[in-house]
This record gives sequence, C-alpha cells and structure tokens, in this order.
Amino acid sequence: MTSIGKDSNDIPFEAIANRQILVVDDAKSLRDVIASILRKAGFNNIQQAENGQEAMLKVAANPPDIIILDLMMPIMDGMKVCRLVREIEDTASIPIIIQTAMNDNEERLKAFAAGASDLVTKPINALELVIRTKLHLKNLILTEKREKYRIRVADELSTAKDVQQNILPSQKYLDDIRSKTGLHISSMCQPSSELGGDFWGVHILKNGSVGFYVTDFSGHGVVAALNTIRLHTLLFNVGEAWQKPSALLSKINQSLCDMLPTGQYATMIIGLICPEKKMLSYAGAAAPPPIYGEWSKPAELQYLDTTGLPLGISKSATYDLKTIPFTPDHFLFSFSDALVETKLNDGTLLEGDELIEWVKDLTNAQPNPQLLDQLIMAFFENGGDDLRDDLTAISFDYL
Amino acid sequence: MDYAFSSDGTLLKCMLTGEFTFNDHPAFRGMIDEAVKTGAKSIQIDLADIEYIDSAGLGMFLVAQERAREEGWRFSISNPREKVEKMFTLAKLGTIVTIIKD
Repeated sequence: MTSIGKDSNDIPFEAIANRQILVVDDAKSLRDVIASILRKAGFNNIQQAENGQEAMLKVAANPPDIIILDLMMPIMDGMKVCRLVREIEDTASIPIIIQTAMNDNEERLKAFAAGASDLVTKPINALELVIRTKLHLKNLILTEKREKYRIRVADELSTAKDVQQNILPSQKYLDDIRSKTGLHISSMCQPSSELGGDFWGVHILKNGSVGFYVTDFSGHGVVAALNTIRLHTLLFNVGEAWQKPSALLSKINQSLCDMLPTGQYATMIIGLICPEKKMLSYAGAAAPPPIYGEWSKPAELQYLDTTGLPLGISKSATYDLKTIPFTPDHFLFSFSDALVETKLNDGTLLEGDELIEWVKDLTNAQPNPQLLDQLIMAFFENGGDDLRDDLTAISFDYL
Repeated sequence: MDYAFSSDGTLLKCMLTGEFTFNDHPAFRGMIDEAVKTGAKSIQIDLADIEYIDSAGLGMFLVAQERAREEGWRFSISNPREKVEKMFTLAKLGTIVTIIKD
C-alpha cells in the first residue's frame, strides 16, 4: 500500500524544487526580484511572462505548477488570467498567488472571487513569498498523490465488481436451464456503490430440479462483496444438498458462523423448484419475502414466509422447510430489500400491499414474461433509481 | 442518528433518534462505550424515535449483545416502531436480544 501522506510537512523540499513557477508582472525589475528570491530559496524552474496574454500562452503550451501573478498589467490583467486559468479544466487547479496592495480590501476580495488561491502583499516580503509558494506546491503534491491513490482504488473496485458480476449465473446457463426444464429465470443486479452484498445463484440438478439462492450480506461495499464470494465458494459443488433447502441453509449458517465476525451476517432464501413434481420447497433466513402466486389468480398473490435468524449469528439456529405448488401457471418474484426500502418520489416505500398492487397491475391476470423488467423500470421511473443499497431482483416462471 | 441518556440508577436508557444505518457504526460504538463507563448494569436502547434501521444497524445490536455477554451487563432493546419491529420479527431478533415494550 502506498502512503498517501498526512500533511504537507511530510513532503521534502526536493520534491518541489523542480516544479515550474510562472512569475507574471509587467515590471521587469519586479519579476527579477521575485525570481531571484525564489531561486535563492532553492527553486530552479522559474518562468516569466510580462502580461496576462503572454502568461496564458505559456499556461496553454506548458501548464506551470504555480502562478505568481500581478493584477495591474497592460493587454490582459491578472483578474482575467485568474478567470481563464480556472475555466480550463486542465489548469483549473493550478495554485495562483496574487500580488496585491495591503490596503485595497475590495481588490483582494475580487481576486479571490476570480479564483486566486492566496495573496501576497506588495512590497513583496521575501520570506512570506517563499513560505506561501512552498505551502501551495506541497499541497499540490499531496493532492496529486491522493488523486493517484483514488484512481487506483477506483480501478481496483471496478475490477472487483467485474469479478463479482462474472460469477453470477450467465445468460447461457439460464438458457440451458430453460431448454432442459422449461423454467424461465430473469434477473437484475445493481450494486449501489461499486461493490455490494447482494448475490444470487442457481444450480440445475441431475434430476431436472433447479436449486437457487438469493442472499444479501449486511452492510455494503468491499466487506459485503468479499463475503458474497465466500458464500459462492460455499455453495459451489454442494451437489445433491440442494434437494433439502432447509438442511443446506443450516449448513451454510454453520460455516458463516465460523467465518463472519459478530455484527456481520447474511439474509438468504434457498429454494428448490421441482418441475416434475410441480413443487417449490424453500427455507428462509430473514430474506425479504418474495411474491408468489398464479398468473390466473391475481387476488391470491402473497408473500412467502422467510422468517428465520439471519445466517452467521448463531450456530443453534434452525430453519423450517416449506413446500408449495409451483405449476406452469405459477411465478415467484424475489428481490433484495432495496426494492422495498428505497423512498419513491412521492415519499412512500414500495412495500406490502403496494408492491402486490404493482405486480397485479403489470400482470392483469395474464402471464407476463416481462414482469421483472417492467416492475424495475416503473420503480426507477418513480424515483427508485436513487439507491442507497444494492438492488437485486429475480423472477422464476414457465413463460 | 442522535442519542440521549436517561438513567434511574440501575437501568441506563439510550434514546436514539433519526435513522440507524451503516454510517452510524462509529457513533453507536462510542455511545455504548460511554454507556458502559457509567457503570450501568443494564443498558437499554430505546427505538421509539427511530424510523429506519438497515441491515448494518441490526448487526450493531448483535455486536452490543455479544459485548454485554462478555462484560457481564444486560442489553435490551425497547419500543421498536411497527416497521422496525417487522424487520426484527422477520430476523427472529427476539431469540437473540431481549426486546421490551413499555
């Protein structure tokens, strides 16, 4: 890990001695005085410009690291230089020290408004000029280091996000399940801050049954994402254990109790859809209750019971197995809590009966293979796009 | 999240207000530290004025419960509002932490 430095005192003078300083003043004698003060202090990359226009040409051709700027100059004055430098993206953060008269308060305020970083009073005090120049150059270096660090971390997070997304079930795998079993699975997964604790998986068994899980690790960000990878590993190759969701859930709970520190946990639902028996069995550990029902009976849409101690909290937790019909007329819509805990534009939450109503409206007693996409689109259009947690939604049907 | 203490000598009540989420982790830990320092044998987190708790918030209660067990004081939660209570019920939190209504 690179040290990003705590304050400018950590930065040695050698790091700033060769930084380019542009001195802008229409009086050659004053430019020379300033240049000589800086040179004596050890700076050895000092450029000069005799008015604003010449300064801007130099800034555009080869941006300096700091500008020491006079205000009253022919052709283009210092205020204009300040504004131009701040307007150009590449030069906007160059520190600008303005030389100004001590007694002109209004001018000093105007200079700051135009974008000055700092002021030195005329006549120039050599020590003050050197101290302020050093300070701004050191701060510049700190900012550069932090920016570099930020970029690196952002790159790493984005790579990690790709890794996580790549172990979600692929469309090819879902297509394969559909061709073998007729079961149609749609999904969407949107992490809130680069990385998230939402995850889901699906696995087709030898007998044509389909096991699935939807999970959400507490918190979000890097730790939650790492935990999803651990869970993915735990559920990789568990084979026939999918046949009994409640036992599998208990087993995962035991493992997570050993892995997770107190305070971190996961909510989860594990299900098994058996096309042959037209049944769904499942066990829940505090996962948001999914919506379950039949296309032809919208009045009977209901939430499944997923009550259970979240995973990773207590080894003595037990999970109930529930078995319900799942025919070609049935569908299951599972989602993470961001769907029901994100405030919509009208200040309400999409939860309870309201969410059921949305589903009813979108199905209208007819099978709707686009239910998930349409519901999420409506959610986003109503303000749900301002997510503060990860959002995952998965639907299962035979359409 | 903000909080205020009230004590009747044996029971220290921490009245929380606002939302209780991931970002409140340091504040909550600090609050428990402060509460423990008073020497109270029983610390109760009152949620009557808490509108929303996220998963990390629930995790912090588990951490506090664990700490209470290790250090030998009693930890409880009181008066969750309907929405928060629903979350506790779903997660069977009552099997781990004492939840009181008064």
